[in-house]
Amino acid sequence: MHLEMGTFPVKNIVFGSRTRWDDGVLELDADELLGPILAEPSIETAMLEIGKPGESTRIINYHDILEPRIKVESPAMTYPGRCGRPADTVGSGRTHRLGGMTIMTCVDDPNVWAARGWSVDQKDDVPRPGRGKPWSWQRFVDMSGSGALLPYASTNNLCLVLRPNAGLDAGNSSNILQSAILSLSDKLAETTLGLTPPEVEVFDLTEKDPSLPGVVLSCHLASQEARVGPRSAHGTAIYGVTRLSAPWVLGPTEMMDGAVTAGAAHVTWPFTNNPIMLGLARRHGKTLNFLGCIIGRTNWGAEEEMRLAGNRAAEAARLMGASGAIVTNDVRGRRFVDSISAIQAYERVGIKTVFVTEEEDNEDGNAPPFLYHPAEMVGVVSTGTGRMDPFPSVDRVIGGVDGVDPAWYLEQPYIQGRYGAAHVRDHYGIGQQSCIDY
Amino acid sequence: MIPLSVGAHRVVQGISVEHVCGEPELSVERDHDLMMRITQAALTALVTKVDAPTLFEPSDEPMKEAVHAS
Amino acid sequence: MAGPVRIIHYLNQFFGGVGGEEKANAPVEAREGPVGPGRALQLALGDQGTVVATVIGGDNYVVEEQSTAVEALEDAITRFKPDVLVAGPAFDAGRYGLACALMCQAAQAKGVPSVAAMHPENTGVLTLRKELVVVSTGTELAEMQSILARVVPLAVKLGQGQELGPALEEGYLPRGFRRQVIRENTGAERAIDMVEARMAGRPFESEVFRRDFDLVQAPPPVPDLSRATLALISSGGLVPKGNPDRLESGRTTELAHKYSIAGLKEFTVEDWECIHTGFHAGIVNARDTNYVLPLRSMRELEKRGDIGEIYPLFYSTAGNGMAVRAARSIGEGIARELKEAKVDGVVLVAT
Repeated sequence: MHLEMGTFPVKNIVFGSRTRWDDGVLELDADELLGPILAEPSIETAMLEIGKPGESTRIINYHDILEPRIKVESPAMTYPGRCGRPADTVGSGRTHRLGGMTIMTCVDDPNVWAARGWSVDQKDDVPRPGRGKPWSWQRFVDMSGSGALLPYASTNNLCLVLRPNAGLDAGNSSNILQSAILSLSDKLAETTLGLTPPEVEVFDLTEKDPSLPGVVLSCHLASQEARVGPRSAHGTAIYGVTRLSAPWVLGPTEMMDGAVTAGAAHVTWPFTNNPIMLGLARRHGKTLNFLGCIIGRTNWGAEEEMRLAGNRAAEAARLMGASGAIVTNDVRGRRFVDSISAIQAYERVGIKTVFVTEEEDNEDGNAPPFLYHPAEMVGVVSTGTGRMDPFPSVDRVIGGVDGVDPAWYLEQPYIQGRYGAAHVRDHYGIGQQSCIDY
Repeated sequence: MIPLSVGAHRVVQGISVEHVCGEPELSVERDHDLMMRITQAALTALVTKVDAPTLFEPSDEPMKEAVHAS
Repeated sequence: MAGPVRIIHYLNQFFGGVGGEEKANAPVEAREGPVGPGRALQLALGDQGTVVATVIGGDNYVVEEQSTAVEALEDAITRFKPDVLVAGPAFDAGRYGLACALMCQAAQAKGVPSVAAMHPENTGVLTLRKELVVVSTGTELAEMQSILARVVPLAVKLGQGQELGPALEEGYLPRGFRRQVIRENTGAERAIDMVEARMAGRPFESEVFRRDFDLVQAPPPVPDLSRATLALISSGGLVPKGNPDRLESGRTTELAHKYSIAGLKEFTVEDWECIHTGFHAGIVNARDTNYVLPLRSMRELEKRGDIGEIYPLFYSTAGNGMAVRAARSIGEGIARELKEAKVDGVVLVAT
């Protein structure tokens, strides 16, 4: 696979009379961009706001976060298979990206964000705002201060704040939201067509040096099929497919072109910007061969099913000639067991694994870091357990169509790794935070 | 997997997270029979001496006899 | 705090020169200055510390007469005013290791920090891991010098009132506390480096070690099922329809709810439901609630005489994201009640 990635850095985003990229500044004609989005009957209101690094700003209610990317002179489209986009194989030719920025869809749905003010959801927790939707209180990005932990604190974030009509089911809602973010992404990325990218990086993974060991990146992504059915637009998708399927084999450049997308529980940005993928690709031909990505789906119900899925991933890796696998997970709890099945299967066929994962709350030394730690789990990289300190108060909150609950401006309490509680959600090791034994 | 590693001594293998003691894909009659076999495996576990975490699997064939302790 | 740290050294009867196994019941005594291996400890300390006293106790004595032994140690602390207690090395001697652990614990209770040295699987470590700072040893006496060389920096640091850093860096056994740290490289870089090391067969350090849950001895089997009372427990969030008591669907912390099943032949989807949100409860709630607790089969077996009787209440909780400490206390609560009610066995269905 050979992909030429051209980066157009975005140092600032401003509203203006037209939409264009010029020397690091992305100018936007907001009315022109919002027109087609507002034309969608299920969207009641939509507006654009900008959150910049270093500001005392908190962005809440995010549904998806993605980076504008576009194929150059190709029939294929980035983020293939989603919302009716062609599912042609991506990952070769040329792609342009707007680096240093993201688009965030912020969904202000009063039926979902019903709770106002501070309330306690779980008995042993502290009061938190935005209690309507489970885990909603974890989904925010601080653009400055000690709580600016996410990679989006360093990007210029164009926030599409919208309010959909009431009563949409998960699948329909996801479809509408994804269509909105993708059409906006295309329009912004289109401004680079015909221009020369200031930075170009070539990813050529075609040749393999037989003297170097082969590595696969093995990501496990939860599927919501049990709840929403096999053909729903809701959840993490590969070429638009969300169903609970056997593992997929992808070339790394396919991921760079957006073959894996998310929205709702997860966001798309960490897939196109996956630091493990990029790190392995950059060492290809030097210290290792990056053979590809094996994407497992999780939420299998029976142990035998998890074992089978793990075995298939290991067999694919073995056939590809792997000696090593870096394994990741995206939701803990029972899906952790799926990842473990894969690790055990890899080790059984002689493939050395490293598991990158968050860990659970240690409960002052009383609880182990993992639900389950089998003997095969020999190499583990921990991306920590969240944030123990509060998040400072802010001057501005983005994410409400007509203002937000004042509670969001105030200091927010800690969010740490009790199962499911996740603000940092560093599944791919983008940060340096970790835990260590005392 | 998890109960054994946590140290539970007598563990019976269920079918699936979404339906531990049965299988909705079966006919009602066969499903009820499966639930009975799973429950009987639990009784077998209760009367078996164990020293370490042990997995008990439900029998494959419908049990003709009831489980007796002695 | 400047100046050499004052150390009390704890030894057993053998290393203290009192005698062998026949002196294992020797009471605790204190002597001025270093004794036996304490002299090597003093040499290793140089001018960083002084072994002002040695406390010697019989292995059996300290464990069996714990309160008297602790009193004797406390007297020595009052008399010799140490900055830190050093115990052992006990190598793999289990009673000695346990005695060291108990002495360290007692010293810490009196405000005197301590460091022990013993094999990582010594009973002393297994029993009191969370409370102790332990330097890991092998089983051979010949290691003495190298052990003491590793004990000294910890003893000095603790004696000077300094906080200890992470276990691997400072050279003590992990106690089970995981704390946040910012590492030099990103998780991704560390993962790629680690997989390269593993593939090349080079040494590497995993960032999380296996940790066992507390192990409990297996209870003996139920002697006669046909006369036994069995209780049912569900961690699948099984509640009467409408969840009248508001059982939390996840991260439950309180004692499980109890519901009567007296005279009930089976759970029905009309009257019961599963509110656990960690799995898709649609199947259970539409097709057969007994999937989550097989009351129907249990009743048949009870009718046939295979079981004596089913306890008239069942316990209901939701295991979704439950904290370990909550699980422990909920389990202990249920066990206490069932034991009082003379229940013989339990069938617990987890999801």
